[in-house]
Amino acid sequence: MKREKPKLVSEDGVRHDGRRLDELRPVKMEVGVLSNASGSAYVEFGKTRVIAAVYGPREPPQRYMVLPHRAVLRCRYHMAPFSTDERKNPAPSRREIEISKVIREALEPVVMSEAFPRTSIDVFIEVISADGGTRTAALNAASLALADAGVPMRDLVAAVAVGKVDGYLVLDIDQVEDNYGEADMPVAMAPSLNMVTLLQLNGVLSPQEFSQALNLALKGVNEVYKLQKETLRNKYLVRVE
Amino acid sequence: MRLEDISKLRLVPGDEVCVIEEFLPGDGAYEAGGKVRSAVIGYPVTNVDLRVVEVKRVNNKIHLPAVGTLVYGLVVSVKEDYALIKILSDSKCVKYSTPFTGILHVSQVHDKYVRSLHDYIKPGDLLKARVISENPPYHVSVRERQLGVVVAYCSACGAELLKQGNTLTCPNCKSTESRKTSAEYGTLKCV
Repeated sequence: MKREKPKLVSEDGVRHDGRRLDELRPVKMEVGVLSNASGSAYVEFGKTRVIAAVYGPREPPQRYMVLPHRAVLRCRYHMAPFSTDERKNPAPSRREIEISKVIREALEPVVMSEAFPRTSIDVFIEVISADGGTRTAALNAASLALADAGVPMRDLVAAVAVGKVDGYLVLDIDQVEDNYGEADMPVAMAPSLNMVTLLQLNGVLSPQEFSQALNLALKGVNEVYKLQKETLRNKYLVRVE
Repeated sequence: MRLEDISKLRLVPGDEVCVIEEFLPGDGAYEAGGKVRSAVIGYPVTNVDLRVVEVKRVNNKIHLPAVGTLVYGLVVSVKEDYALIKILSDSKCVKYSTPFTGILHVSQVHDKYVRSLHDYIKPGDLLKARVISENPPYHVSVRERQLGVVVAYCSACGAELLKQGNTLTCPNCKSTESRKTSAEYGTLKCV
């Protein structure tokens, strides 16, 4: 059964959930939520909810994995069976394996893995509720969890997706906008170093639209980055001050 | 003035501490594009003599063995010339998040010549050892007087051996065994 495409952006620039074009969903962040992990974080973007746990540096389970000059970063992005509308098979799908890889590659440039040769740093990300933008939420959670674990990092990674819906460029698209939209572009950055660590584009954007979208993403990323820093400060630095 | 400003900073990864002309990056800090930035969550500590700024962590420290640390480990397997150890905790009995592999070579057992490790260590023994290499698998040494086996079990009946003078005897079957015992044999409270 194919449903009719709903109207997602009204003429005065208000989206289906009442947000403006350049507005993030309500964001919630928390660190140190798991007691057994070296570091952990919970991140919520509207109805997208993600938990990340970091273990290590520790000895990798298989000897062949070790690198003589740095730690290996291992990432697992996984969606819980109950996270979607239809039950998701818990076995890692092709999509999850790929997202694990892109998340790992987005984190590798900021993690100072050369400080821990012959060890592994393991990041486990569990999506408990999926409503679009799970990979960006996962990245935000993973970078908070790494900082929480005390792993030295050059910068935090902040991520947000930009989409094109009904011809408008919109920030932080959700599931409905992604399903009926024309484009979806997740962007992750290390904002202090002005470095893009992940950029994907699904759909079609003209060159002009692309640079506009990137600027919009930059704005969103900086907002997320601010929230991340605030979360870490509130948890660890308020008492010192 | 400037020093005060720096020491007032409260940092998370990526935050700017100062420029490279002011201080060199120490532990917990790094340099990128002429600026010294923090790599951890914490506060800066400046050393004006060396012109180095460190960032002291305020959250979870990374707990890893390092060169010189004393550790407790379980003997997993013993060969003629080396033994494999499962390093469980540091000397204060703070456990590592996961066990690390340790290697004990014959040359690191005793100051005198050792023909075979089997006469000094047996699988199942608990060792107190000093780490002598930087990364896993960690090489360990038990040459010092206070290092060596701290708990051992009888290879015939499995009862915990008791130290009498220089030999270990089994309270159950009265057999005696030889080990490189630590001066602290039998006094262990944890692990």
